[in-house]
Amino acid sequence: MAQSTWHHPQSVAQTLKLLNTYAGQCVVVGGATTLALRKDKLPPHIIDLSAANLSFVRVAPASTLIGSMTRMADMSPKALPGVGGAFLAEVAAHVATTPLRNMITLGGNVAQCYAWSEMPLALLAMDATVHLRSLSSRRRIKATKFFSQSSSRIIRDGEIITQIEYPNYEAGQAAFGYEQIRRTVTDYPLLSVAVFLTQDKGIITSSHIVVGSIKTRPVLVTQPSGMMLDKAIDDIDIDLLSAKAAKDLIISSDPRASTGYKQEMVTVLCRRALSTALAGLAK
Amino acid sequence: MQVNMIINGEPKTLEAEAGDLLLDVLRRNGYKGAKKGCGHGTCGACTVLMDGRPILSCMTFAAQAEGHEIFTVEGLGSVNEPSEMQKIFVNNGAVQCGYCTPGMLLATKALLETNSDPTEEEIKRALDGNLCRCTGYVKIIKAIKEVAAAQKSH
Repeated sequence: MAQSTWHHPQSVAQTLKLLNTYAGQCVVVGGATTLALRKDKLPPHIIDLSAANLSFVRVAPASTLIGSMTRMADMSPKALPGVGGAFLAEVAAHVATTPLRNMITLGGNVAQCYAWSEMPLALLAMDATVHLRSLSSRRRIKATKFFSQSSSRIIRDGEIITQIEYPNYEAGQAAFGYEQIRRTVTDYPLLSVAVFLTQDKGIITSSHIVVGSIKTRPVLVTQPSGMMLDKAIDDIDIDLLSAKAAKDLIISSDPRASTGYKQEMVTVLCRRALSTALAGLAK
Repeated sequence: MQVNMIINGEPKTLEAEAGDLLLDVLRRNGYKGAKKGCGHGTCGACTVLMDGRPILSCMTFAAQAEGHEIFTVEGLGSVNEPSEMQKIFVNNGAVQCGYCTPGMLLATKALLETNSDPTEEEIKRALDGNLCRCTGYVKIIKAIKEVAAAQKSH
């Protein structure tokens, strides 16, 4: 194995400088969970983000910013304010297992976006914003765009995800529902559904139903999501929307469960997640 | 390269290459309680505590431990002088082949430091990353409840 050089930058600026200097010859390490599995194929330079001041939660009046090195285990409802924070905390608690949640970072979950990465599901449902930086640019990309294609086509050379931003909603303004099924605790999700709704005076003002683990990236179920807009909370037909969500999806085969089973379970999980979210709005 | 860390309360400087895993470096330096099991983050046999939290040393580069506190099962006790937690595991038959035991003990230590009176569900959740292929979970959970009770009575 060729020897690599380990870099331990103490700031984002130092990190970006290193990325620029070693362009094409380096890799960044966050939680390192997956990179460690490829230790025989490491590039000449490894840039460790752990000391780059990217683990934080900053609350602004309208939104909250979470640093990309924030671990799943640190994404608790106490740490993250508002409905969006409670939503992210709920989903983070369902990522992998206890020791892995102590390692996996938000930025890694977003950048890698495996079929089993759960945070992209929640970020897409809330249409959160992904902040990226390089030496020469700062970009903000909405989750709907970010997760519309492979992250390797979105994140440019020399660029890193620095933080994720979500809007601050008070209880009653917004609500969520999240459902996940796994075969065993150590298995990755067989299927996940996230619903995020906002309302004004009893009328739905935004609605997102997102289904995970059926394709390589989470899928925003567009039409059933749109069918809730401008409707009164009490007029939402949960059964109709859930059935429609399952019907509209093209579900990839999975050795762990048949397409038919997963299709059926999308209906079930959508029904549960929608019920929870609507009940949250009605409170 | 040299990696500075505190292992079981003692400052250590260990030699490692950039791609070396923490598990391999610990074992090379005599901390053989952490085991290689699945090698991809499923079984928990390689569990150590980093700054008090269970992590998987088979998926952590040694260089990432720079400046951190690492706690291995050797820090709990030895064959001749086992800790109370280890004695309770043994007395409850919570050790079969023993391969998962260091990870189970460290996950227990981390749990009880943040939650001195865990429910059975909380114990199961705290141990969700540690597999016992002898399937001895009932006795492990019983032992953990006894450890919690013993620690409370002190």
